[in-house]
Formats: sequence, C-alpha cells, structure tokens
Amino acid sequence: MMFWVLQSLNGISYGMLLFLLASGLSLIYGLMKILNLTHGSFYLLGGYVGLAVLHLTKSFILAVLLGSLAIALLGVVMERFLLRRLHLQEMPQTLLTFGLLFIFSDLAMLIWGGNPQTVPKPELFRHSLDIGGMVYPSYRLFIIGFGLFVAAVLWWVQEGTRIGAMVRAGVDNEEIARALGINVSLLFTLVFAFGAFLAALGGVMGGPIVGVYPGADFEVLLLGFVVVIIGGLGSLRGALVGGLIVGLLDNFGKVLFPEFALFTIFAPMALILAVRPTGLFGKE
Amino acid sequence: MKTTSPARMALFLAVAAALALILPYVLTPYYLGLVVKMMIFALFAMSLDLLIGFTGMASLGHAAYFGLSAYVTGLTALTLGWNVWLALPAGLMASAVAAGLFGLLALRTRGSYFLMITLALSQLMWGIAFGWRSLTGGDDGLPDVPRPRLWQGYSLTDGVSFYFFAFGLIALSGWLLYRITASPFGQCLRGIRESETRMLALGYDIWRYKFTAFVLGGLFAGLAGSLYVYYNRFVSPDYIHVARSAEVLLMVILGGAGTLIGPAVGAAIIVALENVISAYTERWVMLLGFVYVIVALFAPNGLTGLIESLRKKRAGP
Amino acid sequence: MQSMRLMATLGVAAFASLIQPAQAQEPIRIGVMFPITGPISAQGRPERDAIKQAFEEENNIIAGRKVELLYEDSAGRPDTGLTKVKALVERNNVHLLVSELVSAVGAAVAPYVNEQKIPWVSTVALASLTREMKSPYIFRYVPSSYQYATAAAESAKKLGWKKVYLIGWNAPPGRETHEALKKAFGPENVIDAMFPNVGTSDYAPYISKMDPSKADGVFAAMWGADAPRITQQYVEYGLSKKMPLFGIASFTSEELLGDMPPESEGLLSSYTYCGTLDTPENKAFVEGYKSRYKELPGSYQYMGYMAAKMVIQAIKDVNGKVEDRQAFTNALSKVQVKGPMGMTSFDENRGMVGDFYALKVVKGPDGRLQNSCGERIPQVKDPYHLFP
Repeated sequence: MMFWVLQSLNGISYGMLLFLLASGLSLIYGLMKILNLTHGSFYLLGGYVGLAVLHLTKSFILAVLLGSLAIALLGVVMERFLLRRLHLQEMPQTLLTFGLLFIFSDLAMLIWGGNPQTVPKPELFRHSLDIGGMVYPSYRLFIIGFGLFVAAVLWWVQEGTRIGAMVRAGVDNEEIARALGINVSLLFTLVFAFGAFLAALGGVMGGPIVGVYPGADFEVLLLGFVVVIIGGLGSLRGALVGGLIVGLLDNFGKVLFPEFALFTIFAPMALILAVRPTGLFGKE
Repeated sequence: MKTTSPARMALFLAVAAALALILPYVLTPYYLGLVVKMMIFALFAMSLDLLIGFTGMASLGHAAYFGLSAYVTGLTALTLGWNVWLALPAGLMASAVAAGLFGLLALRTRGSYFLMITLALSQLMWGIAFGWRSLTGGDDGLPDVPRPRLWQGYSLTDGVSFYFFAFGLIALSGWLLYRITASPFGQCLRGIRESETRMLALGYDIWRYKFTAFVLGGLFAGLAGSLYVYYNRFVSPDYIHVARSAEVLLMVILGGAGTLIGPAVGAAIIVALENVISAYTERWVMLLGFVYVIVALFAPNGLTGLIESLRKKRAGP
Repeated sequence: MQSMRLMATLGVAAFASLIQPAQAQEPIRIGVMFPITGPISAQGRPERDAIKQAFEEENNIIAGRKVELLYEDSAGRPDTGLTKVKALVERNNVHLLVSELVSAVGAAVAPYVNEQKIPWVSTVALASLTREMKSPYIFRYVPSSYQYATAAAESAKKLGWKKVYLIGWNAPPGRETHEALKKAFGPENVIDAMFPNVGTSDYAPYISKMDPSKADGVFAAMWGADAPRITQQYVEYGLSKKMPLFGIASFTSEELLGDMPPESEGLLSSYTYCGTLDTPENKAFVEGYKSRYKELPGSYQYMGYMAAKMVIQAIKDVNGKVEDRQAFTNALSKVQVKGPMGMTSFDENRGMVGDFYALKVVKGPDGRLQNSCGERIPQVKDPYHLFP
C-alpha cells in the first residue's frame, strides 16, 4: 500500500514538473504554430540566471521572479526581431530556433562553465516529512501544489479574462482576430514572452530536483515535446494530463519493468499517437 | 520548373564526373576520406528530402533506418562473414521493412505529430541497439567490422577503391532519386505536399503514395547507413540517436528542401564545419548556430533557394 | 690561404650545423583529442588543459626536442572522434596520441589506432582496451571499470559492509560494476541492482525502492551531472542518514564538489585521486593547475596530467626518438613515474597501476566541500584474473 502511495506521489510530482516545462511550449504552438526548439534553452538559462540571483540575494522568491522575467525579456527580443520575420514558415523557423539552441548552449557554457549546478531548495521546504514512517520530501509536495496553482492561473487567464479571450480568438482564426481589431502582433509577443517565462520558471523551480547542467536544454526539450504531443498541441488541459501520464508511466515503468527503462517514455507516446493521431486533446 | 537546358545539364554532369574521377589522385587520403563522408551524408540527406521536400512529411526519426541498416550490414559482415553483395542488401531489406512497419503507424499522423511519432519510433530503435548488449555490444557498439569484401579473397582495402565503390553507389542512388522525383509518381508526391485534400478529390490514393515514399526514403537512408558502417568500420547506438536525425533534418533545410541537390550541399557544408573548422576554433558549435540563424533569416528557402532567387533577380523581370 | 681554409672549414661547420639541428628540431607532434563541445566537455576541457600543463612544466621541450600539441574535438561522438583521429594521424602526422575519455569513442578509435601502429595513451576507462582490443600500441592510463569497482568494494568491506544495493548507469560502468560487486560480496548479497539510463532526471522511483533495513549501503556508478542529482535526491528521501551512499570512480571529483549540494557532506567514494593528499608532487600539481585555470583540479585533470607525465618520461627514456615506435612503446610500458599520488606504472596488458584511496566528502577550512583521504590501497591493478 505504502509502496503505491509513495510511487504515485513520485510520479505525480514529476508529472507536475513536466507540466511546468511543457505548458509554455503548448501555449506558443497553439497561438503561433511555432515548434519552439529553444524552449529547453529557456529552462537552462532561467535556471542559471535564477541561481546567480540566488547567490547574490539569498532569496529563492527573487531568484524565481528575476530568473523568469529575464528570460521573458529574452523571449520578447527573440519574437520581435527574429521569429516575427518568419511567421508561419515552418522550415526556416525550425532552422532558426535550432541555431539559437546551439548558440544559447554554447553561451551558457562560456559564461557558467560546464559543471552541473544544483539549485538549493528554499529554506521552508528543505526537510522531508515523516508521515507514519513514510518519508517524503516536502519540496516535491510543494511542486505538486505549485503545479496545480499554475494550472489554475493559466486556466483562469484563458477562460476568464479579456486577454484570454483574445488568445482564444487568435488560436481559432488569426485573420478574424485581426479583423475584430485585436492587436495580434502584440498578442504574439506577449504569449511568446509568457511561454519563455513559464519555461524559465520550470528551470528555477525544477532546479532543486533536476539540476542545471549542459545538455539539460536538449533533454528538457524532448520531455516537453513528449508531454505536449501526448496531450495534444495547443491544449492546456492536454499539457496537464500529458505531464501526469508521462510522470506516472515513467515512474511505474521503471519500478515494475526495470529492464525496459529505456522505453518508458517513448513507447507509450508511439502507442498513444498510433491510436489518437492528434494526441489526447488535440484538435484536427 | 527546370530552367536548365539539356546541353547545360550534360555539361554539368560531365564536369562533375571528371572531377569525381580526378579527386582521388589530387587529394591526400585524409581529405579523400572526408569527401566520402560528405557523399554518404549527402545521400542520407537526399533520402530525407524525398519525405520532407517532395511529400511534405518532416521526419525526426530518419536515423532509425540509417542505423538499422548499418547494424544489420555490420553484424552480418562481422559474425557471419557475409560479403558486400549479401550484407548490403540485408541491411537495405531490414531498413525497408522497418520503414514499412513504422510507416503504418506514423502515417496516421500529420505535421508536428508526424515529427514526434517518427522521433518516438526511432528512439525505440535506439533503445534496442543500446539495451540488447549481447547482440549489439550496447553503448560501445560493434568495433572491427571487416572491410567490404567484393568476392572471395578480394576486399576494398585502400581509400581510393572504397571511394569509387561508394561514389558509384551514391551516384546511382542520386540518379534514381532524381528519376523518381521527376516521374509522374514524383509529381503526385508534390501534389500531396501542396494539398492533400485536392489530391484526394482528384481520386488519388494518397496513403499509398505517402507510404511508398516513406519506404523509399528509409531504403536510401539504409544504403547511406550501410556505407557508413563500411567507412567507419564500426557501428554504435549513436548512429540512431535523435541528435543524428536532427542533424540530417538541418542538412535538408539548410541546403533547401525539395531540390535534392540542396540537401546534398547542406550535408557537405555541415560535415565540413564539424570536421575542418573545429580544428581552428573551440566555438564551432556557436558558429554553426549563427550559420543556421543567418540562413533562416536571409535564405528561408535554404541555400539553393537563395541562389535561385539571386538568379531570377539577375535575369530581370 | 690559411684564412681561406679556415673560412671553408667554418663554412662546412656552419652548413653541417644547419642540417644537424634541423633534423633534431623537427618537433614531436602529439595529438590531443577530447570532447570540447557538448555536455561531456565539462570533463573534456579540463582534462585537456591538465595535459597542456604537464608539457608546459617541461617548457614544451623534451630530450632537446620541441613538443607540439595538436588539439581536436571529438564532441563525445564515436564517428566524429574517429574522423578527428584520422585527421591527427593522416593530416598532421602526429607521432603519438594522448586522448579521449568517452568509452564509445575509445571503442571506435582503438582498431584504427592499432592498425596504424600509433602509440596511444588512452584516458578511456574501457576495460576491453586491455582485454579483447589489447594492442602493443594502446595504453590505458585510467582505472578500468573492473579495477575501480573492485577497489571500491574492498574499501567498503573494510567499513564492514556485507549487503549492498547498486544503482548504476545502464551502460558499461554500471554493468561492469555490478559484475565486480557480485564477485566481491557474493551475488546473493547484492540485494538489488538498478540500471537507470544515462541522464535520468528523476531517480525517485529507484530511490523509493531501497530499504535501509536490508543493506549496509548503496553504490552509485555514475558521474557528471547525474552524480550531484542522485546525491540530492537520495538525501531528499531521507536515506542518507540510514544507509550511506558510496560513489564509484569520479563521483566526488573535486571539480564537481564546488557545485555539489551541501547535503553531499559525508559521501563516500574510492578512486586514484584525492585532492587534499599532502605530497609535494600533489601540491605542485594543484598549484600549477590553479594558477593557470583558476580552478581546483579533480580526477579528470589528474588522469590527463599523469598520462602526459608517463609519455614525457618515456620520451626521455628513448632520448626523443619517438619515430622508433617499437622502442618508444617498449619504454612506455616500463615507465614508472612518481606523481601526485605516488608511484604509478603500466601492467603487462598496458593498463594503469596506481594507489587508490578511500575518500570522504567533508567541509574544508574555507567552508568548501573537499575530499578527505582515507585508507590507501597500494598499487591497484586491473583484476584480469577475475574478469578475463
């Protein structure tokens, strides 16, 4: 019994982390139809900047805020000056974001060196809880709560605010949105920056578990893609459900079928796509 | 669509053939080896171009067929002592069969989902190569693959003869790919790329066309993989890794998708950057990144697209 | 007349002196290939830098001959590595190689090096380099997986460990460590062996499976970014207080310790390098590296440095005549060098022999984490008799 509770918690907390990493990717694709290959770089750079802030100020909250905002700013620059020129041109977009992925990873190596860094946890969640003999790290419980909080905020923004309505209009039909007088151009910049913000947030918040290290950009990117594709591109609900599915499958796959650890992420994805070609919640 | 006259085409081919014949006698063995590597990746990129450029199916798992064929050729040559005429076709058969099976699953999806399901399938293949250590040697792969043996007692031992062997097969494949894309079948693929619904309305069985293109792409990628295993004389899971699939995808886009020659040029450029420039600067990854960014911004249709538009500009309105 | 003759003699002498040194002055070219880009460059660059340091300490002149180091980047990929080695051998005509740390690259390069008869001091921990791929031209200056795992088991046994867990990469280091632990503790006493993939981001499922009442400790056979990560997650789940974690090989290498989480204090391990060992050679090595690169050297730097030292001694022994490969490889196989960690040499299969130390991560006087050097296991050799 305890085994199942413990392992389920592991899977859910990892799934929530994956949701944080993937939500921005899905949001950006939904509105702008861009497969943003620098999403993992945002994670990595966010983690590094956050860590630098943390060393300077000793404040985890400041690290989270400043790290994420800095990367959001980078997102604004990227969207305004580069991506804008390649609107809806899939192949050059791929080439551009791949090139930036290379540049960012080499820059990070140049600035922060190659050694893996660990983000220290905030003081409040440094300890493990002991519930009836079951030891569980409080930070992971916090991640579950934080992930749900982010999901709720995103849902509220999308469904309950003016800007959310504009985004939904843009997702449904860009031309009509323009005709309705929505400033689609500004909307693109905002959404892209917000997506970058979420990825960097994942970098600082996920840092205490996953770490910040060269190569994390590519690994996070792959995981993010898997989650978003399983859930369905552009769907927030899909990113949440996809994250949980991948988190739980990966966890129980490794525990119950250790010999197949290499396949716990990609086999389910191939299967789901073969049955549902646009993911669980994706539109045709 | 083609603006080159037959005469100019013939001249171009004659010059290329003459160059190919002279190369082994002017280049040092190391640079000749590098040329062979470029040619192998050119074939690999052209095989992917059949999917991306002509049919509109961007695959991020093309290394699966490259690697599978390499493993089959390498294993049969190493453990069963098969010669080229057995080991090479065995590799090609395997990659065609795998492409057929994967195609059944992958062709249910489109666009980004297609990109990701091909990635997932190739990662499964990578997992098998990595995990089945008794057969594949796991992470370290299979070293000491014998040199290509043409018949009993005769193997291609020196760089020059291997160059001609590889060049012959790759030139033949390039010609076949050109014929395929120029044929009515190729026209249909282009039609599918432009609009599936229209082709469907015209009564074409588009699934069959896409499936055939997918298998053909896997087959030619397999040939590139088998040549690569003979070239390196080892095979490791790295052949199948997603990084390689991404690399070949970039080669195609960099050179210009849908032109065959473009991806071949893209492949040559990336191989050169990776192997020559890296001796001069430690920051060649960043350099490569800047090349991608600049090409994306200023030549969104790839390098051949850029040349084409420059030529049009010069020809005037 | 007299002066004419003198002039002629001088002229001949001058001419001769022009030829003679010209021959002697042709530099010794040494190929140095490491992963300089990509994730593994975190280890590759510093190791290459330490090789540079060793030659700089000789002012890049050995036995009267200038030494030229030619650098290449394997990117940690086997096919790229092979092409680069071909470039070094066929384009730059290097006399010998001191190269690499990624085992898959080592496996790809070895047959070519053997065929070309180029002496190669490899810093790849691949056990097969001194087994199936054994060659008179290949030297392995780094402990093999069997070697470090057997030594680690010996250290742990001295701590009284009888039953153990293993969590190791699903790759040769993890698998071969498993073999070594089964031999050392008996197969029934390896309670569970888990093999996560390289680069696993969440070790929670594995860690949650470990039961402190069943074993005395846990071996972890992985390094790079995975080492601090599993350490942090292991501490997170409250296991470190009940069952110590024992890192294999470079798990607690000094360059990693600077960025390791504070919870790493108390980590155990065992390896051929201990940064705080008090010998004049080690002080000189650490100071030399620190003054050049503003960082503390760790085990990767040590391996590169010592591999270069072995080569330097062998070049001296053949009086700079590296062109005679037979004589040079013979000399290299007999070289004994007293380095930062004591005497080291090559065994009959040209694998590295040297002292091992039991290590423990402690807080240093400046508050930084460092390794304290525990019990020494002298002259550890690859256990060929156990793992043929």
